[in-house]
Amino acid sequence: MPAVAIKKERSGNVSVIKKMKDYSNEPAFKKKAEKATVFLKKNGLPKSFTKKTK
Amino acid sequence: MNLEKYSVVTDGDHSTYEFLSEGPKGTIKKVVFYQELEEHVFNLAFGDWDEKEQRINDKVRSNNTDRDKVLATVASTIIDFIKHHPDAVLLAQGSTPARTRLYQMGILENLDEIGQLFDVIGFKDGTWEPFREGKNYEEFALKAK
Repeated sequence: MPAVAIKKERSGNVSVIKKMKDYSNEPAFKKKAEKATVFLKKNGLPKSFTKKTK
Repeated sequence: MNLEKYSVVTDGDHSTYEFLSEGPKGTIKKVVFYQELEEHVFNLAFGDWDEKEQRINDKVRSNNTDRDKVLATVASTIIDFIKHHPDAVLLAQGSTPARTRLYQMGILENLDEIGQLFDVIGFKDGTWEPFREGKNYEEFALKAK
């Protein structure tokens, strides 16, 4: 965790810090997203389970 | 139920979470990352930060003898994530079948807390069904009640 982290909010065991590493381009996570997208396209979700935006 | 959990840090968007697992194998940074796949649908990605390789490893078994504490901590990130993304539907699948079973155990062990807050469904043999104990699912989805 960054040494310069500044805690500005805390809820239970979770604290918010201002800056965090961007993991969106991590190969393992990108692979997971691709796999999940394929699954979602193939199988979808039950209509009763998806929410509409207000 | 009040299971022991690690302290977690998250970003302002509440989509990335980090915590430190402590055990006989040392201190291991764990990362939970919620990826938006489509509008309101997110995927839970979880892995260890490999300091040597400087990358995420989502297949390693860290054997830090803190499995229950790690699972309870991941569950706490789900609760925090949904609190800040109340319309989100969350998908979860392990990187291996064994890890998917581990997620299932995590859901079961935290079902008291998770079940009060979320609807949970499991995918098996081509269909979604309400999450039931004793079945091995291929994928899970949950959303706020």
